[in-house]
Amino acid sequence: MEMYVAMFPMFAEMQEEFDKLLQAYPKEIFQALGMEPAQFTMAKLESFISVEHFSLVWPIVVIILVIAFGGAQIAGEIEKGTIETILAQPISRLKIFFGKYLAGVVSIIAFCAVSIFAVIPLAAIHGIDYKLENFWTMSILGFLFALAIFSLSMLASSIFSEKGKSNFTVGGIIIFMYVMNVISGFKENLKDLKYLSFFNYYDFSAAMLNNKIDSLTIWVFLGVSVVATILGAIWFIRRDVAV
Amino acid sequence: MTNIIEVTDLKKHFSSFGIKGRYLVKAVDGISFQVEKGEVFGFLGPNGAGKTTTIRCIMDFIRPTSGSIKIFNKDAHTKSVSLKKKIGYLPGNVQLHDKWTGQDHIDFIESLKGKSKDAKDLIKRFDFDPRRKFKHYSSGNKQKLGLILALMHEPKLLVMDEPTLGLDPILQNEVYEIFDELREKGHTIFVSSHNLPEVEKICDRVGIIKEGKLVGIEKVSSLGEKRLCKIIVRFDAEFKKADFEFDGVERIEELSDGLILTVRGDINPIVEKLAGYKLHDLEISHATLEDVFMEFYKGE
Repeated sequence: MEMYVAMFPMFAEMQEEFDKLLQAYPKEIFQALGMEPAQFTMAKLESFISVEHFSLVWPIVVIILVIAFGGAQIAGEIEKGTIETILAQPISRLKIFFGKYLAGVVSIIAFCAVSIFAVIPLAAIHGIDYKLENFWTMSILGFLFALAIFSLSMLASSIFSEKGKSNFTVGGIIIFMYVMNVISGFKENLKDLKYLSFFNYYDFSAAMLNNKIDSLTIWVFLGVSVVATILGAIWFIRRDVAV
Repeated sequence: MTNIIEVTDLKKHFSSFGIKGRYLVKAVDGISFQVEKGEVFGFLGPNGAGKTTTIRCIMDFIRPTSGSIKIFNKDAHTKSVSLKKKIGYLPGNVQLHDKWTGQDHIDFIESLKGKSKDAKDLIKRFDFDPRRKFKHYSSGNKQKLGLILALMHEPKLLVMDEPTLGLDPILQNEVYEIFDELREKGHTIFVSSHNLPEVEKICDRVGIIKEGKLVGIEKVSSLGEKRLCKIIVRFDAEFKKADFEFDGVERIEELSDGLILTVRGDINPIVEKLAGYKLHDLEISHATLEDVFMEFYKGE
């Protein structure tokens, strides 16, 4: 993050050359990344950070973290055998599930806070202007994106008894979603496939540049989270836990 | 007598997949037994007999295909949470969090079950160092921690899978003493074991399970009467096989320089007969638990 902020003034000075360079690229490249060329402007800190950080690096890190965390919560405990000691205590499976879910939510909040708001003090140190409200909006979008994937991961973790299977399944779903989002940009008759993808709703440039989250994004991420969490809890309550 | 555990026609079948497709595994197939208040009940059987599956059903980790389990006269599934306040559980293979210390685990269980009066005393009795991380403990120390966690709230019912696994003889005796103390207080112990001498030492009754079916429930005293011994004797000079063919000798196998005798019950007549010979080597061992069971139940 420090590197991005420190590099920003240099990129801002070279903005015009970058804009010309970007206009020379084929539009398919931008479609593959799910972005518009205008989003690549380097004139503002928010746009620079959104391109450099939130377009690829941040989602990859958050996806890996929440899938691994979710997989370890139940499937990992079953695989290792530690779940027996917890199940032997006077605590319901529902409380165990939501205790672990809550731990994940708190971790996601902490990660979003650190990884998104870390820009603010760094920008202040380097004397760069920033819009705090845009970072708030990005943190909400990032949280919802991470929460939806974490909820899927908790569902898979409730179903499987090995964290590798849980991680592999959710990782496969996320890769499928990414591919759907890319394919939807290539042909008109495939454009609706984007609605199957979280990456269609993860509009980081709208959040960072325009301080905006589409209401459909909120409904999709929250809806997936709620449904996956309820299914995960029911599955965990009903399943046999044999280590 | 009050029944603390009441298992009725318990069945647990699993679907499994193999080369020839899906098949059904009858891990437990219609077992019934009761464990009375204040008794130590041993649950015995060879590997894969269904002991651990039964324990997991009792602990509500897995749900029966059919049948019922009552603990303290309450359904083991629907009343699982309240029942576990009274149950101490030791798994067959103690697996805890690698990065937590022994004390972290004790604190965690206290956060769920309340402050323990006995934890410090148990730590002292087992000579256990709770400051180390779980991953740094030896298998014996892991077992000690498992025992402390199971015993620290003085449970009315103890459910234990191989409780003295990995413990040295001194600590094994410490565990037996604790069991005696609990029994004197009227607490009930359900213990699964392969170890016949241990079972004979601590249990009042045993249930014997084979291939998912309960083949018998016996008082330990009557099981001892049916004990089998294997005697391997090598002679320095010639010997007569016929000298050893008398009541109690179940089987005689010939070696080039000796005999293998399978003896049921009293071995003194054999020892007296052997005293008349000059021996090169003599080995007397208890038959395996499975041999005892198979011998005892072969007619059933």
